[in-house]
This record gives sequence, structure tokens and C-alpha cells, in this order.
Amino acid sequence: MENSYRKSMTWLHTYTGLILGWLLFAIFVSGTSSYYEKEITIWMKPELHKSQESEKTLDIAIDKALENIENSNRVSIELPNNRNNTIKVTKNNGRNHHHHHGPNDEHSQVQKKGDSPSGKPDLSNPSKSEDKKEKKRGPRPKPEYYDASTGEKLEARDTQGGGFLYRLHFELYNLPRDVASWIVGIAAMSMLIAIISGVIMHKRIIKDIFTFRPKNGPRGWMDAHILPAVAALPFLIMITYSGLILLAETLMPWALNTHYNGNFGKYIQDIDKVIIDKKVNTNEFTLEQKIIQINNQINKEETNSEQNEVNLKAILTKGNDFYKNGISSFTITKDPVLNSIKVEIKPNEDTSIFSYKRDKDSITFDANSGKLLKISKAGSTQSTIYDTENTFRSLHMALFADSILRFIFFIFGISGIVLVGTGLILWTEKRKNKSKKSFGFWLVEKLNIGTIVGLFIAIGIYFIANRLISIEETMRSSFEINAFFIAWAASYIHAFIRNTKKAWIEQLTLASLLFLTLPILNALMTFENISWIYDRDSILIGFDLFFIFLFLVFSLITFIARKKFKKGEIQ
Amino acid sequence: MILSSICLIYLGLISLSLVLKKHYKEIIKKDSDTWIRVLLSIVGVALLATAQVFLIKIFGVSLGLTYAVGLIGIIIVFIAMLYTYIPKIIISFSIYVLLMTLILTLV
Repeated sequence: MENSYRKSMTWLHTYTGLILGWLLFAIFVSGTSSYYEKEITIWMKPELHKSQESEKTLDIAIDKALENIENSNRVSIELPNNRNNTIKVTKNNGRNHHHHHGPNDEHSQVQKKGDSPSGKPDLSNPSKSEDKKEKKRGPRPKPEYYDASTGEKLEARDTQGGGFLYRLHFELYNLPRDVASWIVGIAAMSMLIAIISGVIMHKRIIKDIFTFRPKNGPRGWMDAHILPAVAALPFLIMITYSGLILLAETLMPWALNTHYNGNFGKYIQDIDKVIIDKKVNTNEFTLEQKIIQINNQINKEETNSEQNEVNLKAILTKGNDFYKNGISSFTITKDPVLNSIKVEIKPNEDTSIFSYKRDKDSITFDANSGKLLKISKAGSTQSTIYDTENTFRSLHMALFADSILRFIFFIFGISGIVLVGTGLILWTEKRKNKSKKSFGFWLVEKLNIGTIVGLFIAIGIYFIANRLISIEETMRSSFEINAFFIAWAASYIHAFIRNTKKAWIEQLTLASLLFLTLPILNALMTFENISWIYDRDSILIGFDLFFIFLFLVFSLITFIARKKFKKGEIQ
Repeated sequence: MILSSICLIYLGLISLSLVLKKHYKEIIKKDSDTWIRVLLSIVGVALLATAQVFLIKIFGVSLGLTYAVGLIGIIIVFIAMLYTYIPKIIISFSIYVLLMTLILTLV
């Protein structure tokens, strides 16, 4: 440790950042890509690509819902939206059909699965008890995909898609969940310490807020390290702290264990109670008024048209009228005991940051009478503790975010990647002029190459493997993941056996070539005709543009690095 | 309205950047007086606050605040890049943004 406070903070910042820096880099890269997890999965299932939303989409969705509800108690339909281009049908024979369990259907589903609506794990449930429950309930229902223009059933290839990168960022891979949570938790704590000590150690943090000096040596790297750190400081603190909160049940389970004596169902019931109490105390009156108003309108329309049967299309139309940005999904739930059928509709865009898993915006209709039964609106509860926890969890996953906000989160994720990457390089830059270089210096240099470039090479290979491995291959999903890890391991081996400068240049060149290959390979393997270049879902066009962007970024870095190595400006 | 908010955040942050002596000298080509720095601080904070109000009006309190923090971060990087690579255009670009803000707000 050092003599002065600031020097101690500098020491703390350097070594908390360095020791777990490579793991943090991988967590940031895979975590940032998770903001587009659904989109990555769609890209990795080219059989779904031809589906495009049309005027017939709603009718097709209704047909599929009615077909499936015949032999099922619960059918969920996801309509095409800015994150999905197909009609996704998930049917379920009572697996999650426990209405008494939570304030809305999705909640029950989430709790029963231990996963969020997007397939994300609810870390508030301990994995062991969830695994046991999972075995009792049988396998999770597999969604079916339909073309949004023709209604044709689409058989997608087997792939983990974006889910692999998403899970990698907190479960690592093939590690017991508790072990992975501890490793990621320690990394997150190191990051938080590095952020706080970083703010303390930089005297000119406010004065340098708009400063970037692209100079050679540590000065330039320092600015490239500080600028994203300062600009994205609120995000970085939020993402790290909320990450720790998401892992809290593993890292600090004692309060929950002591209070509920291992009965987590009771814990969930208490949380449900908090959410239900909110609805009673905050907006019941206005929502009740609104329900009466809408039902009066429904009565009037029925009298006018002399029609007593309310069909699903009429209900969905009412949903579309209710939500100004349209609807994203609907769920039909049949209760054979009460002989009732309910239709729950969710909007395209959430209206609150509190909209997270248990408490989503939705409206529920009675399918027989067409009457509006319930309006659920996400919002704050009477429990500040629950709201605080919920806000952090929600912010971490950005489940509430529309496309603009999601993109902002993604950019901030990139700033985190740049921050960690430049921090790792800065450590070597500050020490490279020493006459005697230590083993530690050599190790850090090599690990930097294998992590900073190697991870991008591995991701490129993962995507290429997705296109090249045969659809019929039974183990194709595992092969894709194997390709990712083999490529990553090869990058480390190459970095260790090759001269450092050459390893940087060669790996950067390979990364740029891989990202150039991707849109070309995608066109060769998936395009049905040349007009697909522009006449596809915007998600897919976005991927090609992003790959080209990555190609340009890696090419530019390769060009600059090659020039500076030649001139001897970088040693 | 979201575009007006982005413009207001840009103008607010440019004002706050000019409070810093080195940026003021780089752009205006002379040293700044204390009263100018105070004025620029007030204007900067007021513009950011207005943008905040606009965003809350569009998205509600929770999402509005999230949007504001997000946009401020991204625009800080944008302004840093302007100062680094094309500082000469900052004045003209800011006037253009100001006009655009007025048009967007009034229309």
C-alpha cells in the first residue's frame, strides 16, 4: 500500500481492475450483446427470416390461437414487433396455470419457471429448488414459429442463439450456478471498487470530462480510459451494483433463509402481496373508472350492432385502441372448472421502469362477454425496499426499454468494454519502457491479446459456425459453442507463442476478416433473391450493417497499429 | 419533442463545457471572465433541466430520467470528439442546433 490516500486509491484501482479485468472484459462483451439477445437468436435462425409482418398477421395469429386453445389450457401468442418478425406460439397445459399465485398471469409463469418472459432466469429463486420443481413439472413448453404473412409453420435450426452469450455473462459456461455466481459476483465487486477508487484518484475528472487527446503512450490511453468512464459513469455504477443485487440471493442468502426458513414460496407470496397492495392504494379508483367507461362503450357497441358474441378479433382491436403503440402479445387462458376464458393483452411499449417480470402493463378481457375485467399498470409500490431492488434489476436487464433506450444501453455497454479494455492496455503501456520486463508484464500482454481480440474472434467464429454447421446435425447447438471456445483458446495459444506485436496485428486482421466474411456468408447461405439485400426485416439488415461496422473498426485499428509498430511509436 | 430534448442537452453541455477555461479559450480565442462562466453555468444547467422536463413529459418520471442520463452520456462523448477532431465547427454547429431547437419547440 502507498503513503497517501490518493496513491492508495490508485494502487487499489490498478489491481482490482487488473486481476479480474480479463473476466470483466468477457462479462461486458457478452452482457452488452445480451441487450440484443432476441435479435441475435433470430439472426441465428435463418429459417425464420422470410417472415414479415403483413395485413394478414393478426388474422393468422388469431387462427393459431384458436387452433391451439382447443387442446391446451393456455396459449401465448407473440406478435411481430421491432424485436421479432414471426408469430410465436407457446402453448401450455396448465404447467404454469396458477392464477391464485400472483397478480397477473405472467407473474405466475415467471415464478413457476424461474425464468423471465424472455427466458431469463429469475435469480430470486434458488437454483436447486427450481431444478427440482422443473423435474416435477416436465419440460418447458417449446415455442412454435409461424410466418407472419402466410401462416406457414417455420422449423428453425437448433441453436442457443443470443441465449449463449447472455448466459455466459453470469453463468460462465458449464460451471455449477453457485460457483459461477460467486466468481461473477467477485468480479462485479472488483469492478465497483475500481470505479469508486477511479473517481477518487482522478483529480481532474470534471475538468477532463470533454477531453480526449489521441496521443501516443499512456496519455492517449488514459484519455481513452477516462472519457467512456466519465460519460457512462451513472450507467457503469448502475450496471455493476445492480449486477451484485441480481446475485444477492447467492452471495448473501442468510436473511432470506432465516426469515422464511427455506420456504421461498412464502417469500414470493409476500412480494405478490406488495404488488397487489399497490394496485389497491394507488390507482384502483382511476382504473376502475376506466374499466366501467370502456365496458359502457362495449355495451353500446353491442346494442348498436345487435351482436351478442364477442370474438377474439374484437377484443384485440380493443387492446390496440387501448394502447397507443399497439399490442405485442396476448395470452388466452381457459379455466375448465369455472368455465371461463380470459384474454390478457400486453402493450408494445412499457410505460414504467417498474415494468419488470412480476408487474407488467396488461389488460384482461373475459372472452365470452367481451368485457374488460382488469387493467394492470406497472408502478411503484408501498415498499421502498422492493421498489429499489426492482428498479435496479429492471435497469440491469433493460426489459422496459424501447428501441432507442435499448440502443443507448448498448452504447453504454460498449463504453464499459472500452473502459476495461483500455484499462488493461494502460497497465502495460505504463510499464513497457522499463528496461527489465517481468514475467507479470509478459503474462498481462499475452492475456490482453487473447481476451481483447480473441473474444471478438470467438464471437465471429460462433456466428460463422451457425451458418456452416449442417441443419440436420443433431449436436449442432453444442458444436457452435465448441467452435466459440476452440477459437478463443486458439487466440490465447497464438498470443503466447507469437511475438506480441505480430500477434496483435495478426489477430486484429483475422477479426476484421471474420466480420467482413459474415454478411457475405449470410447472403450466400440465406438469401432467396438479390432483393433481400434491402427487402428484409430491419433486424436482419441491422446485423449486416453492424458486421460491416465491426469490420471497419477492426480494419482501422489494424491499420493504425501496423503504422505505429512500423514507426516504432508503439513498442 | 425527443429531438428538441437532444438539442437542448447538446446546448446545455456545450455551455457547461465553455465554463472550463481551456475549452472557452480554444473556441472563443480569449480568456473567460468570471461572470461569463457563471452565466454559462446557469444557462447550461437550465437547458439540461428543461430537457429533463421534456423527457419526463414524454416518457414519465422513471423512463424520462433514464433517457436523460443516457442521452447526456452519449452527447458528452460526441462533444469530446468535436473538441478533439473538429473544434472549428463547434460554434456554427451549435448555432444550427439552437435554430433547430427553436423551430422544433415552436412548431
